[in-house]
Amino acid sequence: MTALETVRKLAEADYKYGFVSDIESDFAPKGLSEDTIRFISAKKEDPDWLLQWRLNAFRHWQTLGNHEPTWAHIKHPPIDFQDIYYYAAPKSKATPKSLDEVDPELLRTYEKLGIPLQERAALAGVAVDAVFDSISVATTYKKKLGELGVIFCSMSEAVREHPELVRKYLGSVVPITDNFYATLNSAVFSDGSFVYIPKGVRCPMELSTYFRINAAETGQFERTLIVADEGAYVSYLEGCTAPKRDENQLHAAVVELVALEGAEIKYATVQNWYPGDANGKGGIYNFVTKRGACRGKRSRISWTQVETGSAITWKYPSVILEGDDSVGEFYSVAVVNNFQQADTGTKMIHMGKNTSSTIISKGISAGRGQNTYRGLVRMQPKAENARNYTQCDSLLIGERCGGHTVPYIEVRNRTGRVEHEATTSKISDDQLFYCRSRGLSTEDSVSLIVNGFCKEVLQKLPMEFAVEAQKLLGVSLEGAVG
Amino acid sequence: MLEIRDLQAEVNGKPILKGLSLSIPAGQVHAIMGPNGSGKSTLAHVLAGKEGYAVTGGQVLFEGRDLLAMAPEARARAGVFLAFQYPVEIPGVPNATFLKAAVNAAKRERGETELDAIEFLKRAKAILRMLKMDDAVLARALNVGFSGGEKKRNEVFQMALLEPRLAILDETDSGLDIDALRIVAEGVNALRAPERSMLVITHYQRLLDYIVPDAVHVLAGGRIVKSGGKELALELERSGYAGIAA
Amino acid sequence: MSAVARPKVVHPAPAFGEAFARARATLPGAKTATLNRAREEAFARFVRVGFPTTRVEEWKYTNLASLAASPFRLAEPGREEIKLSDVAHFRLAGLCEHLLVFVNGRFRADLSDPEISDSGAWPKGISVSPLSMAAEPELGTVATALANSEEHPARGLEALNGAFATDGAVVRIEENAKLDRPLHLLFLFDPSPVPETIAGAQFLRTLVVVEAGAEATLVEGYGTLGDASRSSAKGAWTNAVTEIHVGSGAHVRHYKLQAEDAGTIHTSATIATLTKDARYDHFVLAAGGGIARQKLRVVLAGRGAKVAASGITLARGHQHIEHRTDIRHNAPEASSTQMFKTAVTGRAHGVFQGRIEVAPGAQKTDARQNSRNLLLSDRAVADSKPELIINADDVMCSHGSATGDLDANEVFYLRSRGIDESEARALLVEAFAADLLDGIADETVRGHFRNQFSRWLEAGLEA
Repeated sequence: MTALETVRKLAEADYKYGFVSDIESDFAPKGLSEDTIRFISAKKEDPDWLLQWRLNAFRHWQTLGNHEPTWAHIKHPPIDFQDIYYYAAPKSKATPKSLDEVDPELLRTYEKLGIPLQERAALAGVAVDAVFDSISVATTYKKKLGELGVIFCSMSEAVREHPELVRKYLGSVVPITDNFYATLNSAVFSDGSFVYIPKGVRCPMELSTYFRINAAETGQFERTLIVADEGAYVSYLEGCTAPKRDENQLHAAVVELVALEGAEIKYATVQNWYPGDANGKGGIYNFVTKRGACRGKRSRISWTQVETGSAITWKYPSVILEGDDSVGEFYSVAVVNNFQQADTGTKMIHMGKNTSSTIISKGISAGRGQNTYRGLVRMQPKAENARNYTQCDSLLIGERCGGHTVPYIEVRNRTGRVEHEATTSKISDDQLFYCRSRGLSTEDSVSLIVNGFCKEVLQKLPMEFAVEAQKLLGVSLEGAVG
Repeated sequence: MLEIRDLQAEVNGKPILKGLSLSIPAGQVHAIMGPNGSGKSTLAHVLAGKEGYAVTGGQVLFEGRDLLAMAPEARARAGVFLAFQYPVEIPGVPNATFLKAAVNAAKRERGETELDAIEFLKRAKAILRMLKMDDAVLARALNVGFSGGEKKRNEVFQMALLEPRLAILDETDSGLDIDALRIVAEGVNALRAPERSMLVITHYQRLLDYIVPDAVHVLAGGRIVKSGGKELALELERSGYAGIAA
Repeated sequence: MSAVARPKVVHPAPAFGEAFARARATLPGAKTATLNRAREEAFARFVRVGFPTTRVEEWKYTNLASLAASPFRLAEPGREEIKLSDVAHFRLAGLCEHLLVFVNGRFRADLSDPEISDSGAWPKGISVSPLSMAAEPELGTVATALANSEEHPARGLEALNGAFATDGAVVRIEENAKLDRPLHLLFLFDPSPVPETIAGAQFLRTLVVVEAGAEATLVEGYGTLGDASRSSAKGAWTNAVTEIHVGSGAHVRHYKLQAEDAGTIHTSATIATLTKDARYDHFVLAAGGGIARQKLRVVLAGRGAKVAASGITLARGHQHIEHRTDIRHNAPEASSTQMFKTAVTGRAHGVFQGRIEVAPGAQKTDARQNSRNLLLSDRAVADSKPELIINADDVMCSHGSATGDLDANEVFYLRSRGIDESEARALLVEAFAADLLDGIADETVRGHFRNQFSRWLEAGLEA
């Protein structure tokens, strides 16, 4: 098949789910009931075991009542869970046919963020047939991964093609009873990514590049599962710096990582969900459960995140250090401006022997933003020689924002060692003046200082995204000073 | 180049500069000496545009332009450089990153082509060699962990890189030992040029042995009370400020 | 959808209401309308808010379910036969203090220093009186303070205290007056003479007002009478609230020793309000009780106020000892420091929750906190939660926390100089706490606390 034919075929496939079909059958009615679950399951052509799994989750959710967790330092109006569409066919809205039809403000942002030209169209949702180059690149990568036995596909495809793998690991790190939103997600998840790296294989490319080009339509209830078999390695990047709008306000994703003996998983997130307008109206609620299990000896999992978007962010990427000598890491930059709120952090649970964890969290607050780091370091009674080092720093810009740190340190083994430090500071007038006296504008000066503040975290990102992330920080803090 | 007319300025409501007038032609190095509290640092900060200093009267013309009306970064890009007495630290920002951004901001303003990383490093390293400073300083975070002397040398390094038209050195000699002083002075002297002027603010005469000024002014009680040639500095050394301020 | 959420509020058993109705007429200030009303309101607050459960965020580490479920009764008065010699070892050395002794929540003039019962014996500007002997004006002050207490889901026990307080001290140090010697409030439990009887609860409420420019040193001690080898008092509960108002430029030093026997439950709160340039030093040594939770709440309401809070927890056996601090920076230019150290052995559980909250506008705040936990046995447990809630930007705030066992290198070094292991470990634990003990300004008080610390070490570090 020629490249042109490939593209045509794909373009047709898209429109199959588009505005051609009947609206009614593509939307489950609002609200959550057993029928909704069955509808979703049928639409996705789930095997029966998955339908039962969803129903178990749903029944558990019913026992929780309408009781969302309230201990986070977050204020939002109560969510009416019966007022939400739990299933909507993808691509049911009209897409722009070329970059000319895209909101110029959005294009300006892509420019500022330094996003390559050919990717801007994909990100803006321009119809597939105009993005010729990207498709061929994606095809090459798919071939390479296939040769190594690396599985990288959508969750729906994985359920069909690799059910034994999915069944083995789904819900093994985040059980359906874990927390309110994880339970909800387990019942109604739409799609997500599935990655499996076989024994001894080092995934040859950042799964970021591949992901970006495909720019899959991210749903409200995404479910991702990544499994690295013994000695395997993978670096995965989720999200992108480009601002994303979505008519669905609530996002409750679940990400599970499993690292077997000697394996390593690096998971990086750069997220810029729509944060709401300057008065805090609209904006996405991002309530995510992310957890990695270092099952095997000497396994490693690291979470790196740059969160600048969403009206409300609630996420605690965590690592369970089960295997002896396993290592967990968490690096985070969270920015809140205007009326954004973030309550984010991590949980490191030390269970095996000689485990270690490192937590570096940088919170930046501006406008009337509220930023909270909430972390748990727990050393279980059998965790001999566990080590943790935590550093939480808050940078406050202006008098009306808040930067908070709430760490929980629970040690049940005397050989454990925990060191925790937290500081709060502001961008001093002296630092700003120094930069300006050397010719830098206030905007560039703030950007420089903020990037210096976040340096340790930005260094952990895959290189191409580190550069974009730096620019993203500048863009998010526009107007915060002066 | 620089024309200050009857400048009056206050800090926290307290008048410090009480009618200071001074004129520096292009290509000349002028020194200002004075006792503590006379307003030397205030003058430096007012010229650089720091907040917290209220100008209550007078005028400053830089190459014919109203300097006081310009924002600090605009003054910098127009070619004004202040070597701080107490340079601030900025963690996480490597020296090189900071300076490349500053150099290119000025170049943009002047309509010149910006330097890429390689060209910048070449220039920077050449200057470091001249100042007998280690290349390693480029990677270090801006002034973090630098000794007083290292910070001062870093300021002169910046000056050499940014090629200002008016350089104001605020007590550059404080905290330096003889060897460091000599090296810093050599760096400053190497930058003397017909299109460049310098205002050297110092408490002690010693620096002026190395950076020989074209004129010396005495600042006392917020105004210039005496001006003269380089011999005036030696006279001050001998008889102190009291004799002159009276 | 069915709502089966676990409830946060445990409404109290009717026994509390019955006991309150019975006891009211005999409580201090029963004839004072304002105090009477304030007690009633406090009891109503307790009923609404209930016993704190572990679902209330700040109570997550201390579980009082067993206490909430036990039958409630007030402690009987202590035996009359208690002699001065029984109380002697609780005193400060050299008799350099003004001592007030309370047994089972009631003032004992026979065991206290004579000047306490003689209001004429005090110098000008100093007024000290047990709550049960306080005059009308003082009762009015107590009523006002009680009426101003905020209703809060975590403060149910403080409200209960307000309702039932049988005694305590009412202290006023007038402008620029200086208390010549430490004022020592000694709250002792006399376990029931009949071992099978439940000992009951004692409620102590103290109010200390130190006016502008004045100075005072306050020592607060909690202990159990009788010898330690007797079976400990079952069901003994100490519920104490001490309120301190520090006036402009005044300086209060407050030292607290919590050392009841292992059968007692201790819940207490110290609430200090500081006005402009006020200074408050607070040190607590907690080594007693089966379950002990002490709360320190400081409101820096005036510009330039300063609080220095520190504490040592020594926990062994099956003890559960918690410190909870809550420092509110509500005014600019105020400063606070907190340093809390915990040494835990046996199967004990040490908890430190330290909170700093900086209000918007509290610029130039300087707030620092440090917590260190030493785990000395295989089953010891330490939990720390140092919290920073910061809403102003021109501030200097930091906290640090470190947890672990003694440094193996240090232990080895001492052993290589001929010191045996258990002595080496004891020396190092002593060194661990030394700086905090050294920080006690008053020599006599320092000696008193050092002795307590040494006695704890003598019992060994293994269990």
